[in-house]
Amino acid sequence: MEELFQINRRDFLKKGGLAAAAWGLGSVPTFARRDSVVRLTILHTNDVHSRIDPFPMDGSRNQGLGGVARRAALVKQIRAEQPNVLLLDAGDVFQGTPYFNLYGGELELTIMSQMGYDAATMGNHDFDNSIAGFAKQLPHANFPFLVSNYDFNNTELKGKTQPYKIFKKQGLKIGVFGVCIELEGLVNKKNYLETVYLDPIAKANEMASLLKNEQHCDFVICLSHLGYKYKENKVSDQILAKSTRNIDLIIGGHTHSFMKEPENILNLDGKVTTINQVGFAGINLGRLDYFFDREKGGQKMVSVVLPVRGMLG
Amino acid sequence: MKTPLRSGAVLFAGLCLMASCQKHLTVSKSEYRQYGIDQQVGADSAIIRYYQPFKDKMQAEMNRVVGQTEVALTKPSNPETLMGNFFADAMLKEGLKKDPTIQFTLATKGGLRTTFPKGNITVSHVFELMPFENEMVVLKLSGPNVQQVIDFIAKKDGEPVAGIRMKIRDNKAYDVTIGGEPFDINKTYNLLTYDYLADGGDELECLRNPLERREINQKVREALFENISDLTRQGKKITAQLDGRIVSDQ
Repeated sequence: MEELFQINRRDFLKKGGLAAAAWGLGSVPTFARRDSVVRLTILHTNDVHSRIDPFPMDGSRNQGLGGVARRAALVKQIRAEQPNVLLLDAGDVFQGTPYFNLYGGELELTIMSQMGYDAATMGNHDFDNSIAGFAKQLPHANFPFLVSNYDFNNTELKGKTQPYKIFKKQGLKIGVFGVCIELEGLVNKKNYLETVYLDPIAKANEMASLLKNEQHCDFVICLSHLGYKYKENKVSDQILAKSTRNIDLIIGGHTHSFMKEPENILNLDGKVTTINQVGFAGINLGRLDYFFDREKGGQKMVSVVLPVRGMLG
Repeated sequence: MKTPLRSGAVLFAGLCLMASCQKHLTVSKSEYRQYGIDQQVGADSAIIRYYQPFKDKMQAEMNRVVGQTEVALTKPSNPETLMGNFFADAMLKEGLKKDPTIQFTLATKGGLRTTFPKGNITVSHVFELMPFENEMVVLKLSGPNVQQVIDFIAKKDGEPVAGIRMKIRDNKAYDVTIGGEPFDINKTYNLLTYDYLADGGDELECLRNPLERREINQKVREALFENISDLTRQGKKITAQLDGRIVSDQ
């Protein structure tokens, strides 16, 4: 514990220093305006499955990996270094350790709130204690669950999730929405009750078009619990990517895929939609940095040389 | 990673210029990295301070002894195992309290996630055996549908069952009895299993279209706890026998 407190003190000092710097910046507003490149840092997890502690040291494959306190420290450190961070989760927050069985998800949502998650979507296991069990824990989350393709109107969750949310960062508009997996055959009906599953591709197209064309978002992110890819003909993130327009990034889950790197797929417009997923249980934290150019003329658009502090791999 | 993403961004920028979609900011570059969360990442002590009381309470609960085994309940080989028989018998006994029409039960070897040691059995052991929230369901099956279940058990060279007995030769079942009576393909039968299998999990597609499906509103894990608590209250130990319910020539 002593060691932990020392780390915390160091974090505190670092954070204090950064706060001072930001405050200083605030008093010189022209500085920010002159900066022609805006950097957006997206951090993401999926299928954390109630993994609060690191995996026990029992000789199993994942021993010693993961743990919410470490993830929190890492996120805090990245937030201290980067101004525009979004922290997102692609569902299956619940189920997998006795923490969930005993406390019903209270810890998972409280800790995600403490870490500053900006949004999450729902996975099939988030229904494991039924709609009522999820609704009961929802007050512990200070971030929204984004779900566009479940109709919860005839359930207790009516009005408690939202289809999308728009985030503004240094003048950037980022639209985030969620699509979820078909529940029939995967979840006991008595747990999802009158939830109506809507076609995720149609819904994703509708959401992405709304966000990009009507709300004029600069960047559109889909949080998906459909799964990365399947052998059989079943809707997946790969299929979603090539069957839609206006989605820049799909943060995926469900299949617990440890992707070596994000996959780029050409969408219906021939533009790139990137898919990423980072395994499960909070073993990894994914990070994507996007650099946006404010110059509209174009000549500076692609030839930007950026000082990247702490070289990224 | 950088190369494909960057070229993607260039393409995107180019298209934007042509279409002069000036109102959106465009991505000029992107980068990716993944952090492994391991010992080298310091821990946020505020988070640990928050969850430590929950953890202490949970560990105390998990270490609570609920019963005792007479011998280790293992799952060493086909077609029958001590753990499989204990599990299926406990399900049948608890299921019958809720629905006396149940005739036999089926679980799968893959669904039983641990063995029990000889001696004290804790809450944690039961959670490890059945970590899932599976709910017990009763399926009314036609005779031919039960034959499919029998074929499945034979193909797998035995699964955890109770109330049904059979012999297996060359992956085919014979001398099948259910509830002590010879299996009759012209009758219907009531099978107790759990929702994951009833929904077609573990290759049990054949359970997806029963004549009738009834929930009995009890989780398998709850049934196991109840079964063990009953035994402990009566001063009995958790036990199981290999009783020849499935005999295989393999």
